[in-house]
Amino acid sequence: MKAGTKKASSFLPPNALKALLSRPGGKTRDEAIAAALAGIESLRSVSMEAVERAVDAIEVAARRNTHETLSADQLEQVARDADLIITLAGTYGIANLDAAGRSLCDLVRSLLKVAPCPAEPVVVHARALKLFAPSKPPIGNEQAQMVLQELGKIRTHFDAMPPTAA
Amino acid sequence: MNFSGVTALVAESDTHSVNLLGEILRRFGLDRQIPVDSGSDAKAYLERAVVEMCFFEASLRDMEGAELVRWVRRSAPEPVRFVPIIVLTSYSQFDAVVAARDAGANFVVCKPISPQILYDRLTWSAQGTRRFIEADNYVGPDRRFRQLGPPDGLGRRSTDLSQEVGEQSTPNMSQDEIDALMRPTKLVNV
Repeated sequence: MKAGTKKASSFLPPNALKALLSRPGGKTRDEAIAAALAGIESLRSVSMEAVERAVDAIEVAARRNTHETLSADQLEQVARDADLIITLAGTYGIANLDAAGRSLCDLVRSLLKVAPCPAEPVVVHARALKLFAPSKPPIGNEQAQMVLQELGKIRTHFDAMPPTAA
Repeated sequence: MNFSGVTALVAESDTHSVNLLGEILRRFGLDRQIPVDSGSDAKAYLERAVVEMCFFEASLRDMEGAELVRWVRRSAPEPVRFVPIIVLTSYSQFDAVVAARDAGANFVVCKPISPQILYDRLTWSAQGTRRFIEADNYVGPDRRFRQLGPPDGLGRRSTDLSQEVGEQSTPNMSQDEIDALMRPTKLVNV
């Protein structure tokens, strides 16, 4: 847009995508989605390895700092690893791992408001992630809910902490 | 839908997300994918080449996805600045949704990406019925959607025809008026 333009304008933009997609050939919606789901499934083993590596990375980062504190950079790296776990667990329907990952992301958000950031709650989350990791034998629903409830209590505790003044 | 001639730029810094998105798009038939892992690489590519579709991660390693969207909408050469842009957010990047929308993204899709949602967003982007707005504080697709009533053939009554809802003719009710309307009251026979 030209600098200094005051009046808003509205127009139909050129859309090359429309012309390309409407050419003959291609797949129907159902065919395309079925093929995509098969494609996602073909990446399952690679993705599960990535989940295991992300869980290990969180565990290593947190354990290295047990009884100590985590820096904002370390917490942000934990959140990135947790994000990956959530994405892959959500993609492959690993519900408990997905819930524990979300809990960790929420916790990190709360921890970033306080200084110094304690490592212990991240360690506890790392243990839970390890428990729900795809390589581990599945645990009962009741036990899983209990673990997730405990994670919730930790989160609530740190949510309630007042932000540290900068 | 024939995706075979479409070129898409995928700006994502996470390898696994690139692989998943790439696989989904490939299975749709979209083989021409340009993966880049930073906003600066995306800008460099878009300055010299034309794509028909962009996918940006909400938080790239060197800039926010919203910043990249804003650059495309305001500074990229034509016709790239009009291309449909889908911003992908992960769970911890949820705050980026509003920023991406306000920067001019067509759609924001939260990870994990569902092929159904992605396919529908792509076909919606291709419809070409959404106008483009250029104003001082916003450049991008029109964020207002028209209420067209029930779609043709889906209404239960013969009068349920697809029609455009007219302009608002009276002011909205205030919260007090709504509360007064909903408050339980005792009916008294007189």
